[in-house]
Amino acid sequence: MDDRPLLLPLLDEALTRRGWLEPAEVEAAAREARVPLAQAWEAVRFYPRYRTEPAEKRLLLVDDPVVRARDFARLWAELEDAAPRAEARAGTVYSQGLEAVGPALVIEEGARWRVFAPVQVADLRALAVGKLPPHELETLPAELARNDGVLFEAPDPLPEFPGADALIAAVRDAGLRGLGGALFPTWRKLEAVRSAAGAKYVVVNGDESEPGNFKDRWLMEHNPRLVWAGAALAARAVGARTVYFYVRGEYPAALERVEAARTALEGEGYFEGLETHTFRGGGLYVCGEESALLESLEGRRAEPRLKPPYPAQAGLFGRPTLVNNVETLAHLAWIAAHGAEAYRERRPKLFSISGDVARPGVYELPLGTPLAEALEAAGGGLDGLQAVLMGGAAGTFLRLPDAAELPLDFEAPKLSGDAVGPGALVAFGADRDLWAVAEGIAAFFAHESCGKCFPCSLGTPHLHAAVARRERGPQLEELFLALEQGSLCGLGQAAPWAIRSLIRRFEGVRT
Amino acid sequence: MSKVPLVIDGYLVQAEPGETLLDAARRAGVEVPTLCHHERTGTRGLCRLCVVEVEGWGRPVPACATEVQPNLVVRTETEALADLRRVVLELLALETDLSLDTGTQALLERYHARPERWGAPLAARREREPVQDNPFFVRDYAKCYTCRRCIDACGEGVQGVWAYATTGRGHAAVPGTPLDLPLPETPCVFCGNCVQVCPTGALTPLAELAAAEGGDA
Repeated sequence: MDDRPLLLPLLDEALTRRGWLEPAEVEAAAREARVPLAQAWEAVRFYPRYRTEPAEKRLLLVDDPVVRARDFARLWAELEDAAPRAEARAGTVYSQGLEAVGPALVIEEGARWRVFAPVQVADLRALAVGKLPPHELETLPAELARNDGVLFEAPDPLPEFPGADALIAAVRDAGLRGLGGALFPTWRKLEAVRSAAGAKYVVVNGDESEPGNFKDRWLMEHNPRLVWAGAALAARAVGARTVYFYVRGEYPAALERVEAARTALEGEGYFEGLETHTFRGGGLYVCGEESALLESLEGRRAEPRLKPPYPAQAGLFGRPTLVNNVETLAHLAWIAAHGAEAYRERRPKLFSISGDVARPGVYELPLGTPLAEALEAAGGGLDGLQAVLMGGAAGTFLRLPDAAELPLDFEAPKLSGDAVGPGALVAFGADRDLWAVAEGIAAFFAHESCGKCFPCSLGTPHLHAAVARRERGPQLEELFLALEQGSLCGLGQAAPWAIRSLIRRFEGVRT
Repeated sequence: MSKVPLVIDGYLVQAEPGETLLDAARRAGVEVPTLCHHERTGTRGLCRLCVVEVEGWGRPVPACATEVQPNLVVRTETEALADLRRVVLELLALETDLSLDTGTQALLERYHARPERWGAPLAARREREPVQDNPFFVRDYAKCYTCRRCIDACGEGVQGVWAYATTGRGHAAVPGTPLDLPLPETPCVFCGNCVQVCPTGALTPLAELAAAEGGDA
């Protein structure tokens, strides 16, 4: 076991003093974490929040697929105009899990981060005269969980550990898969880590940064006990003593509530024999890639590792590590409490539904629900809709009504090259500009590329430029293939998917 | 240990257990292109030029980072791989000053690369000013494509002194130094390993530059 203090929390501690880091503080953090100064500096120069000089106040428009389809350009123009008069700099940040409540604005002063949503053009104009927008938001509203989901509450008491054999068998019989989007059978991971010898870890992946998704944010803010229960049960099943809960860096309320739930459960004795930690993530999309997430926990640049070895073989500090998404572990806890059979009867899955529907929010629906039914549940009639972005930025555009009957399940969408992914459904009305959405997605990937492999770091900026020019044709497909087939990790591989689906399915529509 | 039989571009190869597809191919006389990989520094898997197709596997895999397995059927030159390599090389040449990098220039020719078809450069690499902060070599990052051999040679791979640090993300990622200090103020011992492994001429001895200039005059 490695008992060195982790680097990022040490840097964070220094950061809270004045909102930026002095060289001496970086040196001190490196010494305490017992890593080369070069490694600490790589972290400082990689993660956006580690500034090394006083930061101006910044007004940041949240840039996500919903606002891109609507009035992004107008809001941005207004913000750019207002910012200098508010003695601030205008900027954007990518999706903050606020698609259901946007448009959203972040005001950043030093290390302080305040979120306002929804904001109107008039609110942005009023910033110039020192007036804050009227609706400040600390958490996602709890009532965004719109239906009677079993995952929206934690069982009381929390499930007891039924033994490793029983739990893994139940997870297998339930058919649980990785719900962060990869859909890998969960019991196989459990089994692989369990069969490994020596020290091992469980890591909860709460780095939800996939545009269009906010169900993990909701769970972390409003039902963290259920997720912790799943993490503790999984740790006992695989024989790990240490659990890290990696919370997305820009989700401060989620971080606070996950930590509060951890303290409470520790007080209740639920973690007996386990060591649990809440960890503030690096604040970049790539941190959600499981091996990049482990790099970031270890205090390095969050760059995906070459695989094999997989985390189950060599993960955190080189030890076998179970990495599971927040929702997956919530399901695991529910299965432990109610059994595989009850689970199979429901086949629950959380969907983040936003865009042109009357009641955007988190919906728990049975897997296999046809797309049209899911949209109807959220108050989106097929009549006015032209498309759905499914999965997120690393997803695809589905054309409506063509895809109305598509079952939202693990296998069915694969036939057409689509995937439910983490479960985002962003609906677009007939008058929305899908190319504007695609341009936002391409900009997002170019911004989030870590810089490790050549196809992604070179290809994503050119993909963005090509989409901005509304380019199509064989040369663009060459770029798609270089990214998809050549990139090291899922980020670069998925970068062209939404754009390719738009060109293939909507050619001739609004170009 | 018994040999590992596999097929590379139609040749039956008896590979050593644990060796990479790249090494097995080389010994069979098949030259797979690669930019980042270096045996001494352990650098691998970044440039993706060496990706090869393995029958029955989905995506192509980097030959430099994939171990041989019995009975694999590997293809190192297909039309799809050539297309992929051409795009990566074109973008590389568009964004980077490759004037001293004869190895990559040869690959550009081999794959009939036409960088200009991608329009203007976007990464602003070519505008980087050369850093001359020590009496031995220049660090001209307009010529650097961030293969990280120098960083690996200095850190984990060879020397273990950690005088370099990767800074920035995406296309802006570039080697720098801890706290952005001039090299003489870092743990650098001027062993010269970084200069030796640099494939692009971004790190060039001052003596060599002076000689080249003298030759021009």
